[in-house]
Amino acid sequence: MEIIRAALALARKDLVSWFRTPIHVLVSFAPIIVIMLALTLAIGDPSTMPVAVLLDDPDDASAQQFAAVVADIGTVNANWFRVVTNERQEAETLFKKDELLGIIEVPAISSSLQAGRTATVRLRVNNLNDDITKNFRQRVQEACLVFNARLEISPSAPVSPSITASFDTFLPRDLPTQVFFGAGLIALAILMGGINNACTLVAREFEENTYKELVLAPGTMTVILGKWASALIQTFISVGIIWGLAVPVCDFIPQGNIFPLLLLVVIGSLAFAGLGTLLGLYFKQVMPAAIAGMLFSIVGWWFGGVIWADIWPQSLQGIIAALPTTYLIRAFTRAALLDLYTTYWFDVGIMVAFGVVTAVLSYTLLRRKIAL
Amino acid sequence: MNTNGTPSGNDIVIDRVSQKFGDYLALDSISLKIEQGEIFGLLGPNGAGKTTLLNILCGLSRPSGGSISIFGMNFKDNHNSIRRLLGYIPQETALYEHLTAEENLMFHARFYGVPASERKTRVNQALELAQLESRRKSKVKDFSGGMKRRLAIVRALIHDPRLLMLDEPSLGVDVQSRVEIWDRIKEIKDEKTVIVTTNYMEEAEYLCNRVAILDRGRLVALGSPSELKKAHLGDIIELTVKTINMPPLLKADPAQIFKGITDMCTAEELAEKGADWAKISLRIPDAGARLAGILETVKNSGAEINEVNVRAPSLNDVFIELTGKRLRE
Repeated sequence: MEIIRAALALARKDLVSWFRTPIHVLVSFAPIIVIMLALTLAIGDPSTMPVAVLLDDPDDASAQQFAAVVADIGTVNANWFRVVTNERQEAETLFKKDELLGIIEVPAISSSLQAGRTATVRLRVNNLNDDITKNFRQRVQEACLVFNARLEISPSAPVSPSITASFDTFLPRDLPTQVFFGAGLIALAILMGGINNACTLVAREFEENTYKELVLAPGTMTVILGKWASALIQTFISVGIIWGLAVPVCDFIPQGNIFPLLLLVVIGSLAFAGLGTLLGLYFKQVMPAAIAGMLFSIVGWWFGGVIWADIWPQSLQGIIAALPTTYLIRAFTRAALLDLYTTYWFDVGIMVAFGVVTAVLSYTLLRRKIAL
Repeated sequence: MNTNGTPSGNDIVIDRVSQKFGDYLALDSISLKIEQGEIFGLLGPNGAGKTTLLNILCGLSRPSGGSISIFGMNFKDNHNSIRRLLGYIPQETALYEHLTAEENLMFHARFYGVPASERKTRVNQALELAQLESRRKSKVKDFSGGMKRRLAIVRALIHDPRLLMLDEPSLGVDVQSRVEIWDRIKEIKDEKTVIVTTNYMEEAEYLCNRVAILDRGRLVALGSPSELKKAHLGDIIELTVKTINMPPLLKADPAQIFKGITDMCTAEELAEKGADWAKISLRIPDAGARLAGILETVKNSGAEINEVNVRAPSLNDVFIELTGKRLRE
């Protein structure tokens, strides 16, 4: 009870100081707003899609013409497609490794046209979200239209070549990109809030030489609990701000129950406050500790959350699996966007374990400061 | 030794405490006993080991050798009990600059477990003791160095510690604030044991019942300021003389008049010298009994006495006698 009371006193003191230094409040969420704006702008930017174009009959002249259209079509600034390969085996391998967005399979168009039938171009897409999937389909359809316009066929021909698409998906459903990023940004706010608030709070005690008063008080764990409590409240505020912005900017409306998400805000910010405490104890200065915390947050978020970790090359998968950030972001985005809880408790367990480890390390490091 | 956490014993016992940092011996087998209710001074030039010893006493450092007992308890078995009894004011004033004076004190009271019913009274008493009642709602960042120091001292008292440790309490504050700080410390001395480290000899003389002088990690003197002055110096006579009629050899160093006359003075020194005058400083066990003989000796040397000043030594004189220099980096 005494420890809780002292920890709350510390949290109260930290929060009063925090609110009186607006720059510190701003730093806790401003970087995420910058990322949100940058992503919003980037989503509308046309990009070249890596694809494979596979011809059922490599000698078919019309199929070759369609492949040429796919390779050339685009805007003034950029082609829409980058044809990585025409080899089936290589294409399948790259597709499985997520290095291709899609495979365009072209049948023997000439014989169909001569027979007056519609040829069907088959598409397989690695779907990330519905914006990219739709964009891909529309680009292929445009290629078909261009191809049709160049055909010299009799006006009496009944139909023109058409396409159908089959999807190879690993998500239950496509998500609009901005919604997907909205959830990811809230997860980043939890991550960055936990780490940066805790490391700043701890490092400032050293920078301003006030740590001695704290570490000489009875109960070393009090200091850690107090700092975590402050970090948790600060994180709730910054997450609230980002969540509030994600609704209008990213159309983010969480699916299902909100309580699992709130639990993740609590567990995530406390677990990563442990890492922040360690950074604060190590650097003992606000600026380097905050920079290190921010770098870790953004790197962890980028590889573990900005897009599904599954799409990264195999060589990075081991690192991604070892990053605790992956589990926070996965749990949050799946619960928020898909109402999906298949890995929820596992992810929560990983975070709790990470929090316990960082708490023990923080306690040990702090005890060293008082030489006991 | 009590191991169940209950305070017992009234003294602080430092037994053969050493501290090594790599090859550097910061403290060399220091043994001291500080009694309850004392204001005890740790003096020494920079690097003497004062702050190192204070850090060990409050548990911020672990000694390389020896042991510490605080009110009958050791840190290893009773660290939480001991920490409840300590008030520590580090060398650098460390307050929360964005909080007001009252908020700083209230935070400390809450953090150190002062009962809610007593907090307000203690905060008010502390503000009164620090003479900061009128500035209670001002942010600390707007305070002068002296005000901050006074606030830091009363803050360390708010949980009513039995042992108060002050590291250079008046470092970097103006003369008026310094005297006020000393008075505040004297006011609290009655019920508590106070340990003060300082470089200011007048501070130690004004405040301390006993002092320990450290030099290069060793204890070189221990006692009350008056005991130390008596034991090490006796009285000091400063003579200003005209040297124009002195023999050339003595003119070069008029203090040589007293060289070898050990029954007259214990040490002689040429303090200052001009073209035809010199100032000689003599240390005498009993100036009253020997002054006449000294003046006669000066006259016989051909010097003409301009001014005679007899004074009791200061702790500063003892300090320089023992440590050899005023400042050390």
